[in-house]
Amino acid sequence: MNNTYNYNSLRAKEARLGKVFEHWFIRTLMKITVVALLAAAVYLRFALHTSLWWLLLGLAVLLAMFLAWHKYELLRPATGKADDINNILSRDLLIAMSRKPNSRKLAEIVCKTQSGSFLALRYAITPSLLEILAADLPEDPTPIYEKAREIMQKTDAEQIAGGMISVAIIECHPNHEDILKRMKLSIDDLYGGITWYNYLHGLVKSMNKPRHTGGMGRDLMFGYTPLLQNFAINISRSREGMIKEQVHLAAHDEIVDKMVQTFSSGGRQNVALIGPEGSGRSTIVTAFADKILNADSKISSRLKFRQIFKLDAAALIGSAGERGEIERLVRNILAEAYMAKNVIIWLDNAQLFFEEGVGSVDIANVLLPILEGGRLRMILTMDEQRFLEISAKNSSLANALNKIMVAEASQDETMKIMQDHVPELEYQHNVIYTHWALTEAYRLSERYVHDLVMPGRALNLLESAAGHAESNRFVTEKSVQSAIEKTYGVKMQSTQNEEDKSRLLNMEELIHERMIDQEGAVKAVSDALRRAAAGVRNENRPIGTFLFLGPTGVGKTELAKALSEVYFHGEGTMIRIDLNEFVSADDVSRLIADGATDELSLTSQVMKHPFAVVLLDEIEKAHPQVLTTLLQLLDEGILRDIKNREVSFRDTIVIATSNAGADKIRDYIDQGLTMTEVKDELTNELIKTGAFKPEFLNRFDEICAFEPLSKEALIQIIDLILKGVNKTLEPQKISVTVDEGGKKLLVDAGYDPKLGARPMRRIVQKTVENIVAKNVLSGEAESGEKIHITTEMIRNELAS
Amino acid sequence: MLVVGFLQWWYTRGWMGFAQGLLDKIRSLADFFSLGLLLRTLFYPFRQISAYSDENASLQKQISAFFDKLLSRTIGAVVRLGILIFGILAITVEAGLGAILAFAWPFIPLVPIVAVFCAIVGVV
Repeated sequence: MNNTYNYNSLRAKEARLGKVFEHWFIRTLMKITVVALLAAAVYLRFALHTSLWWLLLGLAVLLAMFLAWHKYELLRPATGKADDINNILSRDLLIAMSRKPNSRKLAEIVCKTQSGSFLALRYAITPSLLEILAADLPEDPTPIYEKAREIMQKTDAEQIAGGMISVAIIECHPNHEDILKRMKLSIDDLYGGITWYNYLHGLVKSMNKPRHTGGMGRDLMFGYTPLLQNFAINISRSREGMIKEQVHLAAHDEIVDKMVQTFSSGGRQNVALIGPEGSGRSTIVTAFADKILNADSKISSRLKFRQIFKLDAAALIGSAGERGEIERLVRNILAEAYMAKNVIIWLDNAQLFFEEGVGSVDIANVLLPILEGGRLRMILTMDEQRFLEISAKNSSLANALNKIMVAEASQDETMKIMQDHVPELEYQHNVIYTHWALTEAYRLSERYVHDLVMPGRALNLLESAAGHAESNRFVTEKSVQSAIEKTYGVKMQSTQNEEDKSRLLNMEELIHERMIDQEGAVKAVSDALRRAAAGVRNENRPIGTFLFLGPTGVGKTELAKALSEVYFHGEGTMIRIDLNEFVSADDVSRLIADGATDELSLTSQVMKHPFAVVLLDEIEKAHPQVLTTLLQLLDEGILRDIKNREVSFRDTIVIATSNAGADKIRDYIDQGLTMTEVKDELTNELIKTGAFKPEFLNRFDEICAFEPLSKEALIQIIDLILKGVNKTLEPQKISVTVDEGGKKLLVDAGYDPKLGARPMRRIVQKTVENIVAKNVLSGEAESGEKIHITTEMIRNELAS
Repeated sequence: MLVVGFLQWWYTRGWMGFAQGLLDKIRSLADFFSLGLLLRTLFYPFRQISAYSDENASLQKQISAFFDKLLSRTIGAVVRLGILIFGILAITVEAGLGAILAFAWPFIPLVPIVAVFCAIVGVV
């Protein structure tokens, strides 16, 4: 193995010479010169009869040979045996490399190469980063070349390109793993980047290859299709002009092969692609169209050059008024397709042709005999649910179809498909996508885009993100986050900034600013949320799941509200579901209803606000079927809605409240039990009485027992309420104070062990607020004044 | 060294590349004029016009349909033959010129030397 770079190697010299004559202007000038020399030679030979024409001819031939050499060799020097580094360095590297490049020099030049700049733009492997890393490496670049050769072999490349040198420099650095981690990258990501670049490079090369699609005589043996031209889109024709081939996924290739097999055999000539929306059914059909259009593909001549027409349901319905007319029109279209002999009919969203509704028409009676007869080739695409519905309605139709299931793409496949689409999106939107934009599009779409499956959902989000590119036209992970907020209406929030961290650390104090007592519950909840924020939690569950047990008016709902304010920055992020409205098994469907029919269903609200506190009030009153439905939510952080879409609860805090066993809490406390013991006793009691099943209670991160409020605590609550009154009066610059005796009087008047703190607000309203109102209206209290309310005034007000 | 590199390329990859390019061009021309396809379907009805006949129809109608189909096949054959002839001509020209150049390829680098010699000697 020779890993020593030779500046004077033939390939290096050829690459540099090629660069000199690379400019189109110079090459055009040379071509013109060849023509001019030949013309001048002819003139000298036939007009002036002089032997000098030979010289001009010789010169013209010399130049023409050089032009050929330049075009076919100097601009793309052939690679040689891989045992010598000089044989496998890419052309742009050879041009950029100096006589004796050391590690730092290499770091400087790699970003001038195409693949080096590709990694710089998309993975932030910038020249400055590489130079810093190279400074820690030995001067001798041999280890870098060795590593680059290894990368070349691992990525199945033919040459060592600049990007491989960039990755080699990083990989040679002893601390590269830590450095990459800080950049939210791994070495595998960078290898993926090289493969991505190689794929795009190969795509550009394949564009220069001629595509054989049958030629001018191809369609002469097939019939005219005037009706189809009006009511269908010729997919094959639109693919004919495409130079670009799509990325080939193993799963899709397999399906395309199955389609070829089905249509080449003598059986029923139809294929039903059944798979969820976004799984790539249309991509498979276009890949199939490409395959049968390719003269070089090895498929039966019975199938080759057949054209796929996508039938337009809307155009059919629009042009034919009555049902009978539509059926007649469809019969004529299908007859035309059959007679033309080269047509494959594609019914996209095939359910539109099998059910009555807006934009759909049931022509099953026309299509069924054709599908059963199996003489006209047809492709049907639809989702699983629709297929099941159609099967239930018309079993003979389902039996007549050759079904092929299309599964959702995996993460690796989705990443490949996104990488494949990026050049097109970049061209359309004039932006540059970074690697993080792609990974974020996958991550966020998986969680928050519900109508499609992969890869469709990630692609949709990726495309939307183009409209949120940063000022330098880069589409970053922030662009994707912004797109999901603006385009999909999902409110994103980050809990990672310094302010949020301090908020989490001081959670108890912040919560106690708005609620009194219940230290145990507040601490348990705060601890759980801190663990979650620190990353010590299962990402595939909600942030926290809590069951609050206790009597009415002790602060269960108040704690939920406080959490939504402290953790999610506002009470608006609380989704409250009163489970006493879900007392029958049928109510499950209301809980998971589609947002289009019930915007207040649990799933539709969480779809819109995935970062929220979900308060499930009075959970003991819910029907057991409802509780069973909620098990998956608590366990996996997902709930499937009525349309079978996965709704993520993984960014929510789920709080269930219950009064069950509340009357026992006071007894337990009177027996001298601590709150932890009370909680344990209460839990056992709830299981014993059958209020909740143990498997349900076990799903919660914490079960918190709320103790009844003491009179001392109620005085503090009075203070909180007064604080609220003062806040309301702030615009009028009036403030209110109540003396201690007055507060005690208020507590005595409002205290009800069964209702906790609930009556306190009402009693303050009836007394304090009434006194203030009278003072303001009589003019006794003016702007800037303090109203002091004495015990006597309270007593009088209570008596009145 | 560059001259050696040029000559190496000219007599190996350059020559082979030219031959390959010529074959690709011929293949593309054959595809463009659909030669194989037209030969296979020479007597097919033109654009499937009158290609169908009802087996249950009367004898008179069947005879009429037979002649209609015969006419359609004749028109189809004429059109296809026309394209075939054009295609074969184009390919012949391309292949002929290409073959001449491919055979002359090894001698082309000698042209400048011969030219200088002829100019000095005074060959007109």
